[in-house]
Amino acid sequence: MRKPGAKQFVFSPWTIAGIGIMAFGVFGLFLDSADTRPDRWVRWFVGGALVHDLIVAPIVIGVGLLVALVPRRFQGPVQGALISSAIVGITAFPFVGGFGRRSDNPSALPNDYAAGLLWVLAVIWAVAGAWILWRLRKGRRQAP
Amino acid sequence: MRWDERLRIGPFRQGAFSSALHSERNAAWLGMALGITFSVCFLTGLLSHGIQQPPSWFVWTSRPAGLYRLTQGIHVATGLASIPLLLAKLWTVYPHFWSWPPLRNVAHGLERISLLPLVGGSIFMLMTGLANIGLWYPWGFFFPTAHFWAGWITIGALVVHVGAKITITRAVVNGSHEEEDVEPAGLSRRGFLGIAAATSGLITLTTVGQTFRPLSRLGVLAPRRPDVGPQGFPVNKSAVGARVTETARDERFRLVVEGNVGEPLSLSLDDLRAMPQHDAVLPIACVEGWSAEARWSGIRVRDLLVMARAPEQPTVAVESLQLSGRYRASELNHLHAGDPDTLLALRVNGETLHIDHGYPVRLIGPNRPGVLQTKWVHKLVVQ
Repeated sequence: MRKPGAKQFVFSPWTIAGIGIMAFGVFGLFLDSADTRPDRWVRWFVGGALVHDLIVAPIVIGVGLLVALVPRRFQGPVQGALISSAIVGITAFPFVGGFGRRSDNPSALPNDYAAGLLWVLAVIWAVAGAWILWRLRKGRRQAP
Repeated sequence: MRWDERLRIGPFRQGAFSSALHSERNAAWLGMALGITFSVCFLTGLLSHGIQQPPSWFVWTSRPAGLYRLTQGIHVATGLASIPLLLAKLWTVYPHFWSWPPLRNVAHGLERISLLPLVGGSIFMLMTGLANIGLWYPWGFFFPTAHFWAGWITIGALVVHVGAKITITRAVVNGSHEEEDVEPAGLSRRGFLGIAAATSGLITLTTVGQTFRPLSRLGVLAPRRPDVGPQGFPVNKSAVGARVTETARDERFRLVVEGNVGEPLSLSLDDLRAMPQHDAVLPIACVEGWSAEARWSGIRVRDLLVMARAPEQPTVAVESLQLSGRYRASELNHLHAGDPDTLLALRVNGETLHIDHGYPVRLIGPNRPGVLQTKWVHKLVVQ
C-alpha cells in the first residue's frame, strides 16, 4: 500500500479542518490571555509531552528490563500488574497527596486515599497472583 | 560509516525498541478508543461551557432536571477512563519519538510537527482535568478557560491525526493490515490492550461513585462522596471562603427584587418564611463530575416575579452577598425563571439551610450547573 504523499496530507480535508480548529483554539487562548496566561500555559502544554517522552517512558523501559529477570511464565501477569499499578498510582496521586484539601471545607477529599490506593493495588496483585496460579496449574496438566 | 549513520546512537539505533508491544495494530485500536472518549469529553465540555457563557442564540432548557448532572458525570468519568488508554497508546508509538532520520521529507516533517499539539494537548487535558477534580491548582492560569481553549487545540490536532491515520486504521479494522507476528516474552499484544481496558474499568469503578450513587461505596478514589458534607451533601465554596459569614447572618438581611418590575420588593427572612413554600428534590451537579440530590424547600422564583409584577418571559440576574469572585452572580433565562421547581430555598433536607449551603437564601433549579446555583442570594434584578 503506497503511503500518501505530502500534497495529499497537507491538502486533505482532515488537515485543513484540523488546522482551522487548532487556529481557533490558539486565537481563543490569546483572546482570553488574562485568564489563560499563555506564557505559563505553554510550559504545561509542552512540558507534559516532554516529561512523558524523556522521563516517564525511559522509566517504563527500565522497569521492563527488570521484568525480564522474572521467570518467563510469570512475566505476563507481572507486567500487567505493574502497568495497571503504575497507571492507577498516577491517577490517584493528586488525591493521595491531598493538595486540594482546605481547612474550611471538610467535604473536599474526605477519604483516606492512601488506604484506598492500597486496596486497589491489593486487588490488582491478587488478580495477578490468581493468573500466575492458573498458569502454574495449566503447566502441570500439560507436563508429560 | 556515513556521517548521519554515526549520529544514530542510543534510542536512535535501528531496532533499539525491541518490545513487541510497540504494535501498529494496538496503536490503531487504542487510537479509535481515544477518538471516541475525547469526542465525548469535547462535546460534554462544550455544552457545559455554553451553558455558563451562552452565545446569544443558545437557550438552555430547565428540563430534564438531571440532564446537566448526567453530561458532566460522563465528562469526568470519560476523562478519567482515558488516562490508561492514552498512556497505553503513547507506549505503543513511543519508538516514533526517536525515529531516524528526524525529517525524511515534507509530509513526514509536517506529520511529526502536528503530533506536538496532539500529544501535548492530550496530556494537558487529562492532567489538568485530573488535578482540577482534586482541587489542585499548581499552575498560574485560570483552569476553566485554559482547559477550554486547549480542548479546541487538542481536538484540531486529533482531526489532523485522524486524516493521517485513516487508511491504516481501516486496514487494521478490516483485517488487511499486515504485521509481523511476534510471540512476546511477557504480556501479549492482546493482553496489553486487555490490561489498558481493565485499568480503565478499575479507575471508573473506584471514582464514578462521586456522581453515580449506586456505586458510591466503591468510590475509594473518588475526590468527593455524595453523602459527605453539612446536611448530607458536599460543599464547594464555603461561607468562610466566600467571606459572607457576617453579612449572611445579619438581622437586617433583605431579599431585594428590582429592575424591570412594576413593584420592587424588599423582603425580610420572616416575610420569605411566611410566603407559600414549595418542595423539590433536585441535584447539585458540579462540573467537576460529582453530584448529590437533596430535598429543597423554598419560594418559587416565578411566584416572586408575579408578586413583583415582572414582565412575561423575563431574564433574571441573581446576585450573591459574596462580593468578589466569578460566580457571585448567575442568570436565569425565561425557561429557568418560569420553571415551577426553580426555587429560592430556605431549607434543605428538613433543616434550615446551612451557611455553607447558602443560608439564608439559595437559588436551586433543575438542570443547572452547580456554580450557577447561586448561594447567599440577596438580590434579583429583572431584565
